[in-house]
Amino acid sequence: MNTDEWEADRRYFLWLCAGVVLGAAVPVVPGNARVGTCAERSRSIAHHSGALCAPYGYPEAAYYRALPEDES
Amino acid sequence: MSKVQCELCPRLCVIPEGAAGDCRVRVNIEGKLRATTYGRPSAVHIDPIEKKPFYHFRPTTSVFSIGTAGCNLHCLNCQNWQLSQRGGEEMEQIYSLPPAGLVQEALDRHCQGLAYTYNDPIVFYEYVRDSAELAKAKGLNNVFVTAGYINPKPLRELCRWLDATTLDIKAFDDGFYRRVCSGSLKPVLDAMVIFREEKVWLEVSNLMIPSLNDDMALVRRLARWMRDELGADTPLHFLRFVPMYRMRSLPPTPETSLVRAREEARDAGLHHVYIGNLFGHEAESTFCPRDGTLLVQRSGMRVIANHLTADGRCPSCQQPIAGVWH
Repeated sequence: MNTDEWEADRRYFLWLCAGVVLGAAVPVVPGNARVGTCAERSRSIAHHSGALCAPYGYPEAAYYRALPEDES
Repeated sequence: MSKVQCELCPRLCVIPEGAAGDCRVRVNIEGKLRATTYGRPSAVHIDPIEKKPFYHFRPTTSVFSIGTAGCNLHCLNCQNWQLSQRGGEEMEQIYSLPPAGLVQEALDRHCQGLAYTYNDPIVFYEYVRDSAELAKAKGLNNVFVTAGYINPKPLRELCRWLDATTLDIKAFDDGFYRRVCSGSLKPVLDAMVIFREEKVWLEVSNLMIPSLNDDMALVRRLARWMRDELGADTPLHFLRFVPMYRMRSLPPTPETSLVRAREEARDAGLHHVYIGNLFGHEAESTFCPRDGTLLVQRSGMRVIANHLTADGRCPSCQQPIAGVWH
């Protein structure tokens, strides 16, 4: 492997690492429903003094039923 | 792959795993239906209560108002379509405001109540329910601005925490609901009756769209139904349409249509009929249904003068005026 090839591999590896880190920072829910990162929400609520990115997840909804396999 | 069926609204969406209901925000995650906009409003404002519109509920008070992404109707003329016709992932802004924080914000900003509004709060039902319970314990009002497309059981439960609602009836015509809103009329009528039975203060609005729902026969049917089922004292607001969203080809509602609709509704026996989105018109104000005395003068969502007595009566003839005045 010559120097140029090694440099290309190194850059590819760095891009790969950066992609993994960035990807992990963007939470995604099923259905590709991206909900925004903590940083995005922090910027968007400059007026708000309360807890940011509160750990309350997605509460279970009221008024639904699981469908049996044969009914679905 | 386990599917669930949402039973909150008349759509009864069957939702496969990983997908959302028709509202875009109630998502099946690993076989459980999750409320993805819980504590995550995308619109947060302090509004005068007259903006909702409420003309007979605690005039001049301020309400801390929130709305989220999503809606269970898809009105072609929606004025908040940037919120209502999108899922949470499409929002430019998502605030983090869980119920306790929401109530504290309202108190810190000296608001007298919370308003669940902008999109239809039915789709963030759990967030409303939990916030409203906390708000009530802190002495705040809860007002609900809705199209009323919800099933009876969840609505009755929610009414325990609500003080007032403005319900926007799209037209007294099932065909209009199907063509323009992707909904149906009967659940909305049922919701109005439930609000009345559960003693939640109710005001009704109706956006008049030229050529689509401004037929005076529809207006008469709506007014008579309200008189018979809700009572003649239930306020009705005819709102002026302005071109929006996917209905930009139609003109704004002419003032003559709104004035005529008001006359028809009053002739049908309703005592308090208003015109909205037409600032400066005398039909923004409240008059005594018995002797015509000017009671509450308004202009552009602001109260200019309030002549009601302390116990909500006409000062000249002592007629009690329906409403929650203090």
